[in-house]
Amino acid sequence: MSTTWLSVPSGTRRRRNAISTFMLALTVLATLIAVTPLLFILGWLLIQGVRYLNLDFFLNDPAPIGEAGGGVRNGIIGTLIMSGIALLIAVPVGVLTGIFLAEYRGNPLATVVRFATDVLAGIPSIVVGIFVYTIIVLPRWFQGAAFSGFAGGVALAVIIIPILVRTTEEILRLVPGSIREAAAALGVPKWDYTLTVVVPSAFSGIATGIMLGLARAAGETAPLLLTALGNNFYNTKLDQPMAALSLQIFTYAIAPFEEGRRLAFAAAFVLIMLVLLVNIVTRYVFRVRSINL
Amino acid sequence: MELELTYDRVQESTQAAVGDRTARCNGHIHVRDMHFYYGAFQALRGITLDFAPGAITAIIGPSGCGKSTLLRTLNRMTDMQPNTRVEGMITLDGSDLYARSVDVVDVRRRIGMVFQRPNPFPKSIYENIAYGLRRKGVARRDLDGHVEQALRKAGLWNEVSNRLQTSGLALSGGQQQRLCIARALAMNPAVLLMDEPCSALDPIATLKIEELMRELRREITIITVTHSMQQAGRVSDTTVFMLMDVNGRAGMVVETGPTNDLFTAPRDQRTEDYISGRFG
Ligand SMILES: Nc1ncnc2c1ncn2[C@@H]1O[C@H](COP(=O)(O)OP(=O)(O)OP(=O)(O)O)[C@@H](O)[C@H]1O
Ligand SMILES: [Mg+2]
Repeated sequence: MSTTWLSVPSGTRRRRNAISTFMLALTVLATLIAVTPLLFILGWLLIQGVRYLNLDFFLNDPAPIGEAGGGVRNGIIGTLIMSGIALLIAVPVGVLTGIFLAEYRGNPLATVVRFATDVLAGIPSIVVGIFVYTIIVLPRWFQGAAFSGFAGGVALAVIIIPILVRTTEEILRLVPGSIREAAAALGVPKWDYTLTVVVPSAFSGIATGIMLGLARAAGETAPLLLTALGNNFYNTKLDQPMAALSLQIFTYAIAPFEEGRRLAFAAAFVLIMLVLLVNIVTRYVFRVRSINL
Repeated sequence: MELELTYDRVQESTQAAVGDRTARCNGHIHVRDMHFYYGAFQALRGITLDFAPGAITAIIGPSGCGKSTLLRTLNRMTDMQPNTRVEGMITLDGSDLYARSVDVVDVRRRIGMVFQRPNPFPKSIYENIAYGLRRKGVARRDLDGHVEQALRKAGLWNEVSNRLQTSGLALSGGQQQRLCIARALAMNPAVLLMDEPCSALDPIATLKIEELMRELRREITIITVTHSMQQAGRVSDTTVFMLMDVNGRAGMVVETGPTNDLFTAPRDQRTEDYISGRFG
């Protein structure tokens, strides 16, 4: 008897349930559509890549064209070096800009910078390559070198700066304003509590953004074509053309022989594993260390 | 004319009282003919009040009448909001808080604030207290002592002394609020502003905070906003009743006086209506 006021005509109830089930089905379908290509790529790479993988692949440099064997040691090293340079340049610039945009929102300069960042994020990466080619490679700006690992690192930095700016800004916006008020009420100047309270409480989020940037830098190909150029030999000198995994995937994949396809798959697999590894390690480290908001 | 003369005199003494970082002031706040604007909207009109040292003043009034705004003008938290404007004068021990020569940092160190929702930093309990001390330049070896003293004053020491390194966010709401009070007290302010400090707390936590306020009263001027008239009656020595202007909606002070008098024999009809529940 006490349920009478709660009960709804059974037709209405059935309709509600039907709509609910239908919407749920739609969501599941959309998720499947989104995830399928990802799983397909990963699965295919796994199958194709692992088949050709062996220790030699990591320890050897590419074999002369047409010969069997050879590895991507120089590409792994090159990718690590150039991504490292990119982070060295982009992290200070990107994170500080993100802090500025988030914490000084009303500043007229912030509007201009935010717009510029959005534009930069939308520039095709090959254009960034041309840009760096024009300002660094052509004038031999870096120690008289033309194509160089340094130029490649700069190109990658330009590409990931907008990513770092955006993620940093968005993460900082999630920090509740009440924490800023608390610090201000203690008589701490704004620049000070921004760096000592606001940024540390968003630290793991900013670190995740940096990892996103790193993953992006490691995977970029087009901007390296015109800057690092690629190199068939082992090289760690910044003023020499430098190999990169992504460039090797590109050259091997379009090479007109079976061996090339084999190497391309294996290199792609290594690249993805590298990115995955960096992601997992950083996530683990920062999860343990940071106090959540 | 007279006002201007006073203003000059006040500016001279400003450096002495507010600028000197070591001098402990009495905590006497004086508000005279203060008007406050959010852009074009006037939120406070003609506020004249005296907050005496060693007493607890409660500010009561209906929602939106400007209680929080008034409180925030007292330690210049309103500086953080763009397009706000203060007219008139607010002094601490005779020094104009809004004088050009005054650094807002010094104002806030002398006039601490506790907010409606507990807002500890996402740091350890210890670090919540030590943070402000470090910014203030307290030596590392003195920190432990100061932290303990502040936590004791806030009546929290016994509950947290064995877990100072755990997150301040892991405490209960009431404990978090007392942590925030300890954080403010650690800076050794002369005045403590509290904006509905108990509104997010249960009755027992509320009683603890009220007890704490009464204990602190001797050494510090306390100004608290509250929606609870029982609370105003329990803790405060003086009560300020505010209301919105009928036209223009600016907040103003209707009546102020010793809490007992104001509750038992209000002079203004509107005060009587409000405390007897016939209003807002
Ligand atoms: N940042 C702001 N910008 C513009 N107007 C504001 C701002 N903050 C408050 N106001 C207005 O100022 C008036 C007073 O607000 P205030 O928060 O001081 O009221 P209050 O008495 O504390 O109310 P409550 O009891 O609900 O907390 C209100 O009309 C409010 O809408
Ligand atoms: Mg309020």
